[in-house]
Order: sequence, then structure tokens, then C-alpha cells
Amino acid sequence: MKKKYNFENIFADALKCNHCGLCLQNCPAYRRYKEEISSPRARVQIANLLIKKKITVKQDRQALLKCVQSCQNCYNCAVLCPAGINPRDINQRIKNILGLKEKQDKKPLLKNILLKLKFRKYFAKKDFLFLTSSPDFKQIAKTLNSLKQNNFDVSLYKGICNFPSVFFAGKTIKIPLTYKKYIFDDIENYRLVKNAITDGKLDLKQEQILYITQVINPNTIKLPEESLIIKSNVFLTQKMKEEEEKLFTNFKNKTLNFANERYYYGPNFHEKTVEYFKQIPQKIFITLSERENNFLEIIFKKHKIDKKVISIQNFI
Amino acid sequence: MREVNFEKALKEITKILGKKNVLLSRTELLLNSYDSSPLKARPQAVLNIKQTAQVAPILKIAYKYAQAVTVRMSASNHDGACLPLKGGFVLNMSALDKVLEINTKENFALVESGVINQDLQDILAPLGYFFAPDPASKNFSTLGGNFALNAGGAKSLKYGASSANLLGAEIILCDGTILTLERGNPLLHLLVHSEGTLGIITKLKVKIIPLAPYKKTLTAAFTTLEKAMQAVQKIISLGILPSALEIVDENALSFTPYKNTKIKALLITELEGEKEQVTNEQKQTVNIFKNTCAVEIKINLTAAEIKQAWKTRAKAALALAKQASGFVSYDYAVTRPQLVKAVAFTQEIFKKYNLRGTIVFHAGDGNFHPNIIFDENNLYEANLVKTAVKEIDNFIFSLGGTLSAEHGIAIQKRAAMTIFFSQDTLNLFKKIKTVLDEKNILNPQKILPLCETKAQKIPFGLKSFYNKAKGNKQFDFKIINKLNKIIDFDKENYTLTVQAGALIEDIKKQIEPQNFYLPTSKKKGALLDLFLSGQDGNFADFVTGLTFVCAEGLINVGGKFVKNAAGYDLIHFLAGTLGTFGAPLVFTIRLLPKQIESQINKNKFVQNETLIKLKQVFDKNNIFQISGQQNEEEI
Repeated sequence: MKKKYNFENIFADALKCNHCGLCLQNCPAYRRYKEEISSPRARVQIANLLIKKKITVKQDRQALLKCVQSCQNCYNCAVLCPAGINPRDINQRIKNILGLKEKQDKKPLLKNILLKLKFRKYFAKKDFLFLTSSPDFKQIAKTLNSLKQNNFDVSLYKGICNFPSVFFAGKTIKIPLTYKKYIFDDIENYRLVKNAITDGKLDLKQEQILYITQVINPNTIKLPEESLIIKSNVFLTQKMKEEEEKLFTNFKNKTLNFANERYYYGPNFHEKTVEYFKQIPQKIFITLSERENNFLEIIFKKHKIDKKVISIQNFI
Repeated sequence: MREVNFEKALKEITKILGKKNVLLSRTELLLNSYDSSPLKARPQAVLNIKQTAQVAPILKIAYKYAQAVTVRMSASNHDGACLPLKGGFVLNMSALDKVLEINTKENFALVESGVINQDLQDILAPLGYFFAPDPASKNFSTLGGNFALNAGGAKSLKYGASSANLLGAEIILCDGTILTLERGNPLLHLLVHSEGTLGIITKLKVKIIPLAPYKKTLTAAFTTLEKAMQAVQKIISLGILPSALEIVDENALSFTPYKNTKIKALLITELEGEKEQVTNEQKQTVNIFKNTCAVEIKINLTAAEIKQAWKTRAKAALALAKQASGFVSYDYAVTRPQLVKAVAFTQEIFKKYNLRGTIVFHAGDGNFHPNIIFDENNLYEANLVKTAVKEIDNFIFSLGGTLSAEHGIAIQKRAAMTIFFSQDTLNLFKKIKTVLDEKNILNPQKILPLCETKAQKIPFGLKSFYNKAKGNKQFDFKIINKLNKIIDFDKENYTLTVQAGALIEDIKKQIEPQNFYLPTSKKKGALLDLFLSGQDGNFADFVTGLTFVCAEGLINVGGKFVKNAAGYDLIHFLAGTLGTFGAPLVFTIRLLPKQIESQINKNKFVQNETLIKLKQVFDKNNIFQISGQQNEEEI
């Protein structure tokens, strides 16, 4: 049975796109994959290509899937688009045409990592600890499940999680305002708060917020002595928190959740957190991003903690 | 059907990158065939580069099989610079987004070319530093793209465009040779600002500047555009150098609360510096506003209001987007006093052809953007835009302006190059491209016009130099000493056009009593020697126009405008070549309201293979030797 779609009607708004690229700036998918196909601009252009009959749903299905599935549904693009297009909604319409249900995600981000673990033979299975910064905790949960099914003894460390999904348009932000300094390890969150301050929505000063990356070189840069890292969890709405909680119930015993802890990092890493790291039985830390990798290496070196940091890139 | 050579190249490249990073599907190719302009060109394969080290081997392969290579990152440029006109490979280098080092002791940042401008700004801000080039697209455009096209932005009035903030770069040549260049090497600016036609940038060393201790943003509303322009003119002629000076015009204001009011122009002024100086300048500026009949002057703006003002400015260009799918943005620059004329003419043209669009200004540096929208599917309207733009081109040329101040030439303005550049200059550009990219694989068919240009007239006074440069006897630099006149001292525009043989002490005698200063702390000697020796590291940043002779004839680049992104950067190239590539005859120099300390350039002129190749273009008869005065200094 073949369905015939009138793309010109379905995607009428997409015709207004002049591919300026403004939507790229805060798209978590584009910032992560850095490929045109995972950008909002591509989603709108795909609609245009369907209208102009340059591609077809049947023949180009695989590429379309790659495109639509990277969307994190955060609506950042819709807020920014000068032409008033909502790429997220267009994405949803393409999804519907492809016959994808909203809940369906076929490819867990880290699925099959296990099978590809190059270091597998060198270490005992229980030595692994996952540090996550994945924006999609559903996928993390799935991955953990599959790891567990393979008899791996896995712990989850979400101390440095980033959840860009807190960028839902129009939602207000709540942060405890009791600290002197707030440090972000995540640029999207940093920008969100920075904008909130300039817009007068947040009673903080610009000097109070800091953004830290792997660039920190203790020799050339001075950092304030007292600083607090903001975990993205702070930004989660109640509903999202509950959802997250539900997903992670299986792992509760083995999860080192720093969500409610106040701790410091950077060259002046807080003693308490250093101790935490020392207590963790696992010897190898797997990081999902270069940033965490470098940051942990600095800390382990500085505090002479005998643990290894390996980037996930080595496994994929 | 793909070519055999392409298939072979593809096979070898796949070995390096892995299948996952070589994209061949129809959809992926179509999704990499556009940028912010209405133009389109489809590549044959898209390569996702993950490490800087992968670029050189890929270029080696592309060179071997003569396949075109075009770099594409955020694809936010307005003129098609990243479109693969000859197909071939598109390198997606946006994953090269690491900031490698920030050094606040020596004030530089080392970055990969895919780092997004705003990301660097966000890293620098908490450390009390900033990076000066801030194009309106800074939130998503990459530094590699910014530098390749010599992007400017609001702050370039005070801190210069990209070229003035470039300290070094790692560049891959067409055959895969890796060049690491530092400031002072003549090749640096030539290769970096070549829009990817001479080399591919993989790493950049950029200048970072400490944030000013005190900052003040003022806005003033005017009932006519002319009054706002007058205010700009007066601010500059008082010697005040705001870090930004921008005008939002009537059309753009109609998207703000100023809609349907008397107010037709909004001037945003940003003053930076020590508190005392800023308060002083603020007083003067407010006086100017009052004298030019500003309707509404705001001084004590809150952070939110400042942001709102800038948003208005940023929105100006994009507010049009809702109305039509075709959008073109041009970036002419003229001298400040002529800006009013240029804008009035452009508005007339808009009316004449019934075009929809706005004009946005970086009023402080004479740069203005006519943004035009049209229906992409309506051929008649699209052609109308072309005809209209051609008329504007001709008018801007007659005012002595530049075709491109910060967007670059790429495809869209390629044909208009014949209006703005002489035959000799374009021939030289073409030969530079042929020599450095003999198989024409790097971003092919960009910048250089495909059509022929008209023959050029040599000014009477320069004819003898022209003949000597074309001859085969050794060029004697002493004959330039006779050329020592000041041709034009434009106080309103803060520029000086002067012949190359003029002595610095003579110039200073004339201009310093009137509170104009040369951008160097050197006190003696001919301008020619200062320029050619390259000892003053920043002097070339202030040379906005240059006429010189070489084997190709009389070459004329730049002019009296502050920003320029049209054609190859021959000014920085010639600076520091000790006269071995040609002899400068006339300089146009940007003057300053106060004395500055020049930075001494430690890097010495060293020959290398690329320079030897270029030498054959600039000086095929080998008549330009190290100029006499230089020799003495060397000893």
C-alpha cells in the first residue's frame, strides 16, 4: 500500500528557509555531531528537497532516519529562526511520514559499545565506571541495561552530566542563589544562565558565573578559590526528575549520584570530591567527552590518584 | 558516472577516514550543497574530518588525482565561498572545534579552525579577555571561516578586522605541505585570507585583548538618517574611537517599538577604556548628539537595554527573512564622509527597482550592508536584483569604495571584480592562484572573474616606474626617493595618501600639530623602508591602500576605506619582503588620534619554496633585489 503525500501542503512553511544557519548555534545535536545532517537547517532542507522531488521517502529513507532521529526536541531552533520556521515541528512531520512513533528510538547511542571494547581482555569486568554527559538519559539507561545483560558490573557516575533537554523554550530556570561563584562545564547551560541574567530574570551578577573548558592551564590562568559547579540536574523540571528517577531505579545501589552534593572542581578541586574519587573502587574511568577526559586527567595528576581515564572514542 | 580518478582518490581517502566519515548518499550531498546565499553547488563526496592531522594526507591524495577540495563548516557565508563549484570533495571540518591553548601572559589563543567564534568569546570572558572580530554571525560561524573571509564586525573600528588579530596559522597547501606561519611571514595573510583558494587553515593563533575596565553604551535616536550620519562623522573627527558605532535604519526599526514613530535612525555607540577617558568622551558624544538634533538620548542603559539595542541591530538583517526565501547581503565600504551619498544612492536604487530590503551599517568604518530579499522562484525578480546590484557596484567604485568589506568575494561578487580591480591586478591574482595551486583543486573558480577586463590606464607620473618594472634592468629603489609628496590628507576620514618615498619626519611635521598621528613609533626614514623592512609588526595593519609595481605591471589594492576583504591580501604580503617582490609607490595609511607604541617584529624574512614560486610571478626577470637602504640596515 502506497500513501501519497502532498509535501507542498505539509511543509509549506519550510519554503521560507533561506539557510542562514542561525539555528545551528544552540542545537545540541549539531553541537555534538558537527554534521550538517544533524542540524535543524538540514531538517528544513529535507522538507524542501521532498517538495522539489529531489529525494524520495522510499529511496533516501536511511539518510532521513539519520537526520530526524538526532533531534533532541529542545525547540532551541524554533526560538531562533528569523523566518519563524519551527524545524522541530517539521522534524516531527518527517518522522510521521517515515512512520516513526515518538517513543521509538532504534539505536541506543552506546549500544554495541560492549562488543567493541578493545580493552576488554585487559581488565576485569567490574572495573568499568561510566561517566556520562549524554543528553539522552533514556539511551543511557538502555545502554546500561544491555551492559548488565552482558554480565558487566557497571556503575554509573552522573556527576558531570549535561542535559541540554532543559532548554525547553519559555521555561523558567531555578538555581539556588546562595553561592559566590557558579561554574559551568557546559556551554549551553552557561549561555542560558548568562542570558537570563542580562534579561533580568535571574538575580545574579555576570561576574558570578564562569565557564570552564579543557583549556584550563593552571600556569597561565588564575581561578577563583571558591567555586561551585552547576550540574544540569538543577535545571530539570519536576516531571523530568521523576522520569529520570524511574529509569535509574535498577541502578540505584551502584550509582554515585552527585546531584545533591555541592562540590568544586577545576585546579582548586574540593578535597571532599577528591576523597570521593579515591573511594570509588573502579580503576578505570570511561569518559564520554574530551572535556571530562582532560579535566579528570588534570585532577588525577594533581592529586596523585592512581586511576586511569580513557575516552569513549577508544571504543567506538 | 564518476570519473576513474575520483574513484581512486575516494578509495584512498576512505582508508584514512573510515567508511563512516565518507558521505556519498544523495541526501547528504544535497544537504552540503548550500550556504547562506541563494547559490547551490553539489559535491561528489563529503568528508567528515575529525583531526587536523587528517587534512594534509587527504590533500596529498586529492592533489595526486587532481580532485577539487572545498572546506565547509557552519556554511553561514553570504557569497557561496564554501560551495564546491567543480564538485569533488567537501571537507566538513566543523568537528575541529578544540581550543588548544589560551595564554593570558602573551595574549594569544591557539585554536583549531572549526572553533565557533562565540565559544572562544565565552571561554575568554571569565578570564577578563575578549577576541575582537565579532561578525553578526558570531554565534555560529567558525573562526576558520571568519579568517578566510577576513570578517570584521562591530568592534573592528577600534580593534581591526580579522587580519589585524591574526598572529599565526597552520596552513595546508594544495599538495599537502604543512606550513606553520607566524606573523611577519609574508605568506601568512596572503594564504589565510584567500577564502580557501590558496590553502586550507587547520590551526589559528589569534590575538586576545584584555577587556576594557570601563564600558559605556549610548543610544541616540534621530529623525533622519542624515543627522545620524552627521553625528557619526563628528564623533570620529573629534578623535574619539568608539569600540562600536552602528546605525539601525528606518526599515529595520519597523520591527521594534520604534515602529510608526518619528524616529528614522538609531545610533548605537559603545565607548571603552579607562573610566576618566570614557566619561570625558561620553560628554563630548552627548554634546554632538544634542548639536545634531537627536530626539532621544539614552545614557544610563541597563544590561538588558543594551542587549535589546544590540538585538535590534542584529535583527535588522534577519527581520526580512519572514517575507521571502531569497536573501542576499552585500558589504560595501566607502570612506565615512561618502557614506551618506552611497546610502542615499542605494535607497534610490531600491526605489527604482522596487526592491524589498534594508540597509544596515557599521557606520564607524564606512561599511554598509544592503540586504535584499526576493522570491527565489521568480526569475524576473532575481534578475532585477542582479541589475540593481550592478548599478550600485558601479556607483561605489566611482566613490572609491570597496566591493567587499568583510564577506569576501567567492562567487556572488566574482563578476564585479572587473569593475573594482585593474587588468594588471587581476592578472597578478590569477598568476598567484596558478602558481600556488597549479592543478586548481583548492576551492576552484572562486574570487577571480571568468570574464576579461578592460585595458588599464597608467597614471602619467607613475609611467616610468611601470616601464622599469616591466624591463629587465635591476630596479633601483633610490628613484622612489623622488616620490615624496602627500597626495591627500583626509582629516574627516582619518586617512593619509602619501607617496612611498616620503620621509616619516616630514609627514609627522605636517600632521602632528593637527593631532593626527602615524601608526608607528619610528621617527626617521622613508615610509617605503618602514613598510618593506616589516620591523614594525603592526604597521601593515594600518596600510589600507597600496599601489606598487612588479613584473606584472602597476598593481592597485585597497583604498581609503578601513575594512577590505576583496581579492588577495597583497598589502600584508609585500610588507616585510625587503623589496624583493616589487616596489611600493603610493600608500594610503589610516591615521590615529593618538601616538601608539609599535611592536617590534622579531621574525626575519626567510625564503622558502612557496616564496620562490611566487617570486617568479612578481619578479620574473629577477630585477628586484633587497633594496639598498635595507641592506645597510641589515649590516
